[in-house]
Formats: sequence, structure tokens, C-alpha cells
Amino acid sequence: MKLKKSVIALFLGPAVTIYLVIFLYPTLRTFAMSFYDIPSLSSKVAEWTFIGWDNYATLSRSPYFLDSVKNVLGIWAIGGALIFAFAFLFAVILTSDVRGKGFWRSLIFLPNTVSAVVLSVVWLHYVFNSSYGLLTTLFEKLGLTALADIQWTDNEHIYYSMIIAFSFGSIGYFMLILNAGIGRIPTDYYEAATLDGASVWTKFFRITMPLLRDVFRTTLVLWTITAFNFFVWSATFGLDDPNTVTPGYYMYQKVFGKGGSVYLEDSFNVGAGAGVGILITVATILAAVLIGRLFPKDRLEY
Amino acid sequence: MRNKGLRLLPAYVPLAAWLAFSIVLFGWVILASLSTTRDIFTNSLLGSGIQLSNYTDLFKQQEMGRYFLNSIIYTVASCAGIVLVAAPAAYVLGRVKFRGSGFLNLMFVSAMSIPGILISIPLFSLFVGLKLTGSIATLVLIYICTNVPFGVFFLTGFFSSIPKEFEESAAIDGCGPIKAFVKVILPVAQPGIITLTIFNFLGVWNEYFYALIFANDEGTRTLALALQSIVYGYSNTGNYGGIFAACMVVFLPSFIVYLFVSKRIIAGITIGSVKG
Repeated sequence: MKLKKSVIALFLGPAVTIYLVIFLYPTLRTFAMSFYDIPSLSSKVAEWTFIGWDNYATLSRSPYFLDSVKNVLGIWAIGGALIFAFAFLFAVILTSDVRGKGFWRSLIFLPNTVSAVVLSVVWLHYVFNSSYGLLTTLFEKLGLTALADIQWTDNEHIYYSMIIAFSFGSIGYFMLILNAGIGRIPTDYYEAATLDGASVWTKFFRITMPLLRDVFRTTLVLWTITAFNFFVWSATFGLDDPNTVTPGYYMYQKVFGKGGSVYLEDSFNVGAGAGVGILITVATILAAVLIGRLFPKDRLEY
Repeated sequence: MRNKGLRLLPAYVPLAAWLAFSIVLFGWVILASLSTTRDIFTNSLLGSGIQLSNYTDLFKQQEMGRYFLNSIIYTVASCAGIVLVAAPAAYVLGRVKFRGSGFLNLMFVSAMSIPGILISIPLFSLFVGLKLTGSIATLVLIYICTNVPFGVFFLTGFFSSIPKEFEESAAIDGCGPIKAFVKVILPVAQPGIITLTIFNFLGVWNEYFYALIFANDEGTRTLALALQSIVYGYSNTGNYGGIFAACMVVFLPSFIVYLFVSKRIIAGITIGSVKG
């Protein structure tokens, strides 16, 4: 179909303007900001001082920033392992002959639709509560006093507790994508394998995994983007605990932090905050390229 | 048949475990939201009867009603705005052949992977510079703008699947392109627009990051942010029944919507993943 140029411009104008003003311009400006010393958030460009790579050098020396990088890599690895293990488990189960697939899919996806603040509060104040909480009560009933006595939200445990609670809320989304991917694998392969006497595990590792490579790569990239930008749960679950701070939250503290945070010694610095944003983006792109290399596009057609 | 049922038994175990855990979480929080703090701590939920005051206090003392209204305004205005901007753009990209359409498609797809963290600093100074902070409209504008790329991407697929006879017959009836779009194409694309709006509803209702930066004062706060500050206050004063009641007030609207539309959401994600 063809339309007049003026009509095309009218229809596309607002969306393209938004792209330029809200996405392109801020991206470029953040990149520029990371090379300047900037006195405050609302400073005009004339007040900026060019300092080259100094902001990045400051970050590389900041123990807070380095810890936040360690935290986020742990979230990527541990949370990723948890989420993919459960997502795969449910995705495979829901392509078998179980009944009520629609119900189970909706149920497992449900936590993804709940506000992170609500999920955090329920996990913090119910599941992980040390006096009346679910885990404590359960372990006491089972007579496992050592487990019942764990303080799930103290400095030592909060990081792992956060990863568990966050993962619970993320499994459903990855399960749906993997489930759709497995659903598209022709059933003949499984039927032939069953006739040859293959076990469930053999079928999973020899048929499902190889044929799912493209979908798996996509979900892995999606997970990496999510994990590297991990922010909300540091604020809603970690509540400023330094053990749960990720680079994203570190940037927020540096740029928008309203004082009284854990970073009193590590002062307000807009330029360095912009640097964190750039580093997260570069790391995400590099990881995506690396994942693409490790799982090259499949030439198999089925 | 019996053999098959037995073979599938291990498959039901994880499903049943997930169901049990969900019921325990949901059921316990509902009961706790109606209990006194003492009942919660002594593991005797509802021991002193049903405390509806946990809920009414939220609206009387914590102005939950205002934050509820705020969140409704944010959600409704943003959902409408996103469709208003994204639908015409997606229509052109999905149906019209012109030079540069491939590039524009790529542009919107790439915008979807730009993280909020990266653009938040300049956006904040931009809005401060335009004296646009501190009002409800600020966050509405932010939500519309940041969700347009996904909206364009999602709707482009829907528009391109509509048979071109629709516009041809509209043209024969003497409709101009704009009238044809509004009167003929939009109604046909309604399922796609509704699915997109459900996604946007859940996304905006639960959004946290931009709300924290652009709407974190008394008048403009979202329900989720209000919940956080209420929980902070209540855990200091030891009102645990109130904490769980506040959770229910934030959770229930999105849960009720989800009950009705979960099939559409799941179909939407599945279609998106097949294409991506």
C-alpha cells in the first residue's frame, strides 16, 4: 500500500520524536556525561568540566562499586541457574500430557504480574520472618532446629534470600517462552526416541536441548539484560543493605540518592553515575555477543 | 490409561508443590491482613476475630485512597497515550511501503533494549529544565514515551496481518487515509490493541524505577511507592496486620485483571517469543 508523504509523517511523527528525545538523545548525553565532572543533576553543559576517563578510574577504585559488580554477577549466575532450572522443569512438564495446562501456565506466570513491592514485603515479612514466618514454622514442625534458626534477612543471608524471592517472581516468563519453543518441536522425534527406549533425560538432552538452541539463546540474552539492570529488588527487598546493591542501584544512590544511604563516604557524583550506566550497557552488549558466539544460529530446519 | 496416569505422576509433583506454595502464600496473607498483630505473632490468625479496620485505617489514616487514585490515573492515561502514539506509527510501518521503513523498524526494536538506568539521568535533567517535575503529568509522559517502542513493535505485527482489502473497500467508499485508519483498521486491530493494553496496564501498575525518580512525593506517589513507605512506617510501629492489608490493596486490582485476561497475556508472550 502507498500513502502520501505527509500522512506518513503525521502517523510516524510522534513516535519518532519520542525515540529521538527520550531514547537517542539521553543515551548520547549519558555517554558524554561520563567523561565530565558535573556539579549537580541540573547543571548546564557550560558548568561541566572535561576529565577524560577519570570517572571510570574512580569507579574502578571504589570498593562499593566493585562489590556491586560482584553482587550482580552472582545474581546473574545463581538466579539464572535457579530460574532456568525451574523454567525448564515446568516447560517440559507442560508439554507432556498433563491435564489443565492452561491453568498451570496461568498459575506459574501469576507471580510475574505481582508488584515487586508486594512480593518483597510478603517474602520479607512472611516467608523469611524469623518468629512466625513460613520457613521457620515449617522447619520447627519438622524438628530441623538448625534450619529453623536461620535469620534469612540478616546481613549474612539477605543476598541469597533476595535471589530466591526474585527468582520465584521471574520463573513464569521464561517458562512460557521455553514452553512455546518446546511445543514447536515435532512430536515424531520424541515418539521415535520412545520406541527406541530412550529415557526422559535422554530425550531432554538429545532432542529438546539441541533443537531448542535458538530459543535458549534468546532467553539467555533476555535474562542477561534483566540481570545486569537489576535494580528494583535491591530497593524493595534489600532496603539499602550493601550486600544487595547492584551497579544499577549504586548508580541510583550516586545520582538520585537523598542522603542517609550506605554511601556517605562515597559521595554524590553524576558523572560517575553516568559512567555506571554506560558500563552496564557495554557489558550487556558484550555478553549478548558472547552468548551469540557460544550458541551460534541454528541451521537446522524442522 | 492407568499406566499413563502413573507415568505422569512425577510430572504432577512439582506442579502440586507450586500450587500448594501459592495457596499458602495467598491464603496466609489474606488471613493475616484481617488479623491483629498479636494474632500474627502467636500463630493464631483471626484469633481475635476479623479486623476490617486493618483496611479502613489504610484509607482513613494513610490516604491510600489518594494513592490508589493516582495509580489509576497513571495507568489509564498512560495506556491510552501509548496506543494513541504507537498505533498510527505501527500502522504505517506494518502496511505502507516506503523508503526507510526497515530502518525505522530497527530503530524501535533497538530502543526496547535501552535500559531505563541509562537514560534516566538526562531525562531527569530534561524534565527539571522544562519545569515538568512534581506533577502527575510528568510520570504519565514518561510512561507513554518509554513504552512506545514496545507498542510500535507489538502492533506492527498485528497491522501487517490485516488483509489489504479493508482499505481498498474503504477507499471505494470515499474514505481518506486517516478516516480509513480510524473507522476501518482500528476496529479490526482491536484484539492486538487490547492485548497490548493489558501488558501496559500490568507494567504501569507495578512500575517502580521511574516512579521512584519522578513521582516520589506526597501528592504524586504511586500505590506501589506508597505501599513501601506505609510498610516502613508500620514495621516501626509494629502494625503487621496493616502491612499485609496494604499488600492486598496493591495486589488485588492486578490479580482481578489477571484472572480475566491471563489467557491473552500468555498468548501474547508466546506469539512474541515465536517471532523473536
